[in-house]
This record gives sequence, C-alpha cells and structure tokens, in this order.
Amino acid sequence: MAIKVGMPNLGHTMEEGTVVNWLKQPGEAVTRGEPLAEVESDKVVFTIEAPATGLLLRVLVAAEGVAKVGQALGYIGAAGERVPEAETTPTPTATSAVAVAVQPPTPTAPPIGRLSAERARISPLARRLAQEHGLDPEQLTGTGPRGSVTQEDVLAAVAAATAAPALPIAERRPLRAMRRTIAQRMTQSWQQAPHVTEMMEVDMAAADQYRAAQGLAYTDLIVAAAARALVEHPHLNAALVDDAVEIYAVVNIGLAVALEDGLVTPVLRDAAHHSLAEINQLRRALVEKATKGQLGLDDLAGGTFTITNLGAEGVRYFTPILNPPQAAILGVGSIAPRAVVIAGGLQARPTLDLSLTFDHRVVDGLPAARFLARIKALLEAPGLLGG
Amino acid sequence: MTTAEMTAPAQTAVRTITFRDAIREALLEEMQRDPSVFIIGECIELRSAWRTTKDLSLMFPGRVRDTPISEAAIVGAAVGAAMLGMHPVAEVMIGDFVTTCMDELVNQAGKMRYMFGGQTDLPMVVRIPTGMVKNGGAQHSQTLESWFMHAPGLLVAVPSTPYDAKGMLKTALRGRDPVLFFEYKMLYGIKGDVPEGDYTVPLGQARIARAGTDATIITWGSMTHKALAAAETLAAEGRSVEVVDLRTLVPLDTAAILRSVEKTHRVLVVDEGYRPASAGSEIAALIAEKAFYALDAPIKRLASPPVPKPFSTPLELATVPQTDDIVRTVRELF
Repeated sequence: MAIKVGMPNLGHTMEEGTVVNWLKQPGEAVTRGEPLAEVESDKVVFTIEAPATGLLLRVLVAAEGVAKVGQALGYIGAAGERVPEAETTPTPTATSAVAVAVQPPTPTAPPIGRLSAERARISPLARRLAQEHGLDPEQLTGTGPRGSVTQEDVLAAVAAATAAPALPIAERRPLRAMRRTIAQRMTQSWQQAPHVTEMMEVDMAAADQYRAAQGLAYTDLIVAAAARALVEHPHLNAALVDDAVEIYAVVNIGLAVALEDGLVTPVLRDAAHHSLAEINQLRRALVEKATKGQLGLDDLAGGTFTITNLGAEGVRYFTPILNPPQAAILGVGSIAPRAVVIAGGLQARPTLDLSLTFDHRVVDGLPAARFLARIKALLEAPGLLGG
Repeated sequence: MTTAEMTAPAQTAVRTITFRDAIREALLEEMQRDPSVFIIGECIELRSAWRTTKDLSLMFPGRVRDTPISEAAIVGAAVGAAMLGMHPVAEVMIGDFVTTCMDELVNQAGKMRYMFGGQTDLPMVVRIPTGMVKNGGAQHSQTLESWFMHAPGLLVAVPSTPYDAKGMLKTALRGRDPVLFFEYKMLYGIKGDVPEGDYTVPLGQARIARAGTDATIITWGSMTHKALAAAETLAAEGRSVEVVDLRTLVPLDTAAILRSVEKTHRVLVVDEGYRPASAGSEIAALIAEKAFYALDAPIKRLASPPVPKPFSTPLELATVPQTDDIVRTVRELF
C-alpha cells in the first residue's frame, strides 16, 4: 500500500503550510529518511524526510502549493501501485487524536513525515539577553558560528528597535570655514554675554529728504548717526576683556553683509571722522568687495561696533547677537510709511525701527536707551550729521 | 588545601634561566633550608637524566638517592617517609610510568590523612616529567595529569614558566599534602626570568598569561605557550584573545575561569592530554554548569586524540594540538 506524505504539523497554531520545493521528482526512487520536500509554516522552513523507501509515485501539491496540516502532499510506494488522485478532505488533527485513542497505532503505521529541521541556534547568552529585552530570539537573524544568534545579533536588534527613526536627510553639508567661524563666534557670544535688546521707532521723513538731496543711502545716514552717537556714548563703543571694560579710542563700524552662504562684516574705519559722502564711498567699496569675495584681512579686522540690516526683507524688529567682543550691535529694520500721531492727528510718515542689542555686563539699560535715543535724534534731524 | 600566599622575592637579581634550572634551584634552596627534604628516583644521583638534580648528590651527600627501576617502590617509600615527618621528593623519570604507582598515589597518599583521622600529614612531592618530546614513542610521551584530578586528596601542579616552576615547587615542598608536580619535558629548555633566592607561588591561583576581550583560551603547562602564539596570530586579525594559564588543576581556580568566560563569552580549552574524560572535559563541564548564560558560542576543546603516540614525527605532531589548530578553533567560535 502506498504511503502518504502529509503536511506536518509544525506548531500548535499551524493550520496550513506551503510546499517550498520538492527535492525528488515523481517517479524517482527515495530512501527512508532521505530529504524529500521542504515545507514552510508562517515561521520556519522544514525538511520532510521520506517516511519509507520506494518510488515517489505522485506529487499532489506542487511547489508553492498550500495544504492543510495532515493533507497528503504525495505518495511513496512500489512501481505500478495505485494512489489517490487527490485528497479533498484533509484529516483534521483532532480527528486523528480521537482515532488514536480508540485504536492505538501499530508499529508499522507510517509516520506522517519526520521533521528534520533543527531548532534555531541561539547562544545561551543571546537567549538570556533577548529575554531581558523582551525580544523573541527565534525571530532574529544569526551571524555567529553556524548561523547562531549571538549577543551581537541581539544587541543589534535592541539598538534597531530603540533607535529613533532616522529622519531622511536630503543633503549633508560639512561646515565650511566661514560657517564654522560663524557658528563658533555666535555660540561664544550667546553663551558668554547676557544679551538685552531695546527697540525704538525713528521718523525718517527728514532723513528721506536729506538722503535724496545728497544722493546718499539710508545706511550712510545710519552709519554716520551711530558713529556720532558712539563718540558721545563711548561706553557702547567698548568690550569686556578679562576683568575690565575696555573703551575703544576709535569708532570702527562693522557692516554685516549677507553672502550666499553666510555673512561677513567688513569694517568702516574711523567712521566718526568721515563725512557722509566719504562714508557713502567707503561703504560702497566695502560692500562691493564683500560681494565679490575680495575682502582682505585688513577689511575685516578691528571693528568696535556692528550694524546689521534686515530691513530690505521687511523685518521691523529683531534681536541681533553681539559680534564678540563688541558690547553693542545695532539692528536696522525696514523703512516704510506708517501711521504716526503728530500734533494729535494721524500722519503717514516713513518710519524706521531700530533694535539695539548690548552686553549687559558692560552697559545697563538706561545708558543704552539714551544712546539709541541719540541715534534717533540724529536721524530725525540729519542736518546735525554735517554734510 | 595547600595554597600558601605568594611571597615576593627579596631584593635580589633576576636572571633569565631555563625551566630545568629553575626546578633545580628550587630543590637546592629547599634542601639547604630544610634538612628533611630528600630526593629519590631513577638516574638522579650519579647522573641526572633531566639534569634537574645535577650535582645535588655531591652537595647533599646521602640526600639524593638512586633506586631500582620501580616507580611503585619510589613513591611507596616516599609515602612512608612523609608519614614519618620527612619531606620526600620522588621523581618518576618518565611520567608515563606513573601508572605503575597508582595504588601508592591514589589509595595511599591521597587517603592517609582521612583514614588515620588526621594523625598524619603527607608532605611529599612527586615530580613527574611529562608530555611529548620529539620521538618519545607511545610509552614516553603521554600527559596523564587529568587522571589525578579524579582522585581525592592529591594536588596537581602544572607550571608553564620557569618562574612558576621554582615558586610553585617551593610551595609544594612546604605544604602538608601530596603534590603531583608535572614538568612538561617540552618546557625544560625554555627560558624565563627567575629571581635569585627565595619566593613562592601559591597553588590554586590561575594566571592571566595574556589579557583579551573577545575569547578565552584556558590551558596550562606546555599548551600555554602554543596558546600565546595563537593569540598573537589572532591579534593580527583583530581578535583579542585572553589566555588563562591554570598553573594547577587541583586546586582548580574556578573563579578565574568563570571570570574570564563572563568577560569574553567564548571559550576554548586546550589540553595536551587525551581528549576523553580529560581535564579539559572537566573544565568545559564546569563552564557549562556555572557560566551557561554567559556563553555566546558552544564551548570548544582541543586535546590529543586517544591513540598511542606515534614515533613518526609527522604523525606525532598530528596527535597533539598545535598552534595552527588553536588559531583555527578560536576562529570557529565566531
């Protein structure tokens, strides 16, 4: 009688399995215990060994085919032996158990197919670690001796499970020299100096007329106003060096110029002693050099105060970070017509918003406010800036 | 257990001398120190086969005694002398023939104190030149120290360096228990730093011959040197291998073994003796029992196959673990 090769039961939860591959072809001779077919449950691949010696008479479930537990996958028997075409009613496990209870199997009863698959190789250390981390070591891929799951595999799985999902990175740009300098100096400034920013609105109606008449830019007036005000308020033209406040004897105004990837601060030297026309000329030369990347070290060194301008983009107020070791920096906002109360009535006046950040270790709030008010006064009466 | 504290050598010169000279120096100094120390054996008085007792018979007349060729008589006499307060050193010239005095060792020496209710100590040392040297043949090449791990009451010393040989032999001679002192013939010619004068090395304390983090080789005696050479090769491959030199098999420094396995999680035991029921088997079993959950790979063993040692050089080399075997087996742990 032909012997059935059945889908083995590979675990309590298994109801059906898939034939991965037949290792023998129909008609081929097989020896009892020889690997016959590979089947797969939802967890592992097992090799079915031939339950008897003979010919593989028929394959009922081909590779990729699914069969219930106990269902015939094929038959082994003698040449010419008749075998069923197909098995439509699989034998449920429970029924088998009842049958066994009623009629114990004889020693000659053919086995359904012995499992030769090995238990997953997991090192004791790996098993212990996996348990500690609540992982199922059976699910891990082993890289140790003979494919065993080792400590390293468990730790890798733990790391993978606990690592925050990495955000996709579009591009990674190592810091170039300028960016690195900016990063380092801004961090240093932010960490060392207690920053306070004061803001003030300036009526630019007079400055607007003056500028147009003289062929100047607003910035020229602002540089001149700041320079003149610094002469009168020297404690803002200063730096904290070690245990002393050092007040500079010159007024060198750094102008922050935005570049493609960063900014530079060329220095307009001795600004207090230049006329507006000279300031205009010097400033334009510096900005041109800056945008062309032609600034030398001389152009960049020696600033005592900095002006930074975001007005062109519509920013009104902001909180500039000090350019260390300088004690103050002036942020320039946008100039635009705004409703201003004049003599009890509303007027549209061109106004400018200034933001002054200072190092509170060097200067207190009131003197800083007075300095800022002086700049405002100079800009609102530009004639005081002297040609 | 005879586990004397390690005593630091006094401020004396350190020379580089051979293992055999270190043994001879220990014997000489102990004979000077203690008149109850004497030596009996074959071919030790008129000439010294291993040169470990060279000239001692001239320096200590009557205290170095040649005997007829009977290891049973040598060891039996030593047992009796030890019971009566002497400190005999019995030499079994060819360690393979320790089998002829098994009764004297296993049934007499190891059990005397117990059977006589503690009325006697057995302060004796049996020196056993052992192991393979070139073309020794089947009866002059064996390493049988593991047999005595099996017998209660005997201490088993297996030094690997000249320093340990001198310091451990002194400790053995000053103890109360019979000590089987295995001297690997292969090591007699190796040199090492040995202080002049008195110092001791305790029995029962393993030595980290080389520190490492990735795998442990546990070994002793002659194999220590092959393990160290293998560790050097493996270091070039980026594997950090620790070599634990046990120094004694009884007492066995289980703490040192387990400490190293807990650290590296991989272990190879290298044993010159026959593989079945060997010292290596015992150590592997110990690790499996006590450090199972520290293991990241199956315990490996290397030992001699249970065949008579062939006389032919290539076959002889094939029957004892070699450095290449150790390297290959450590690789299999990963």
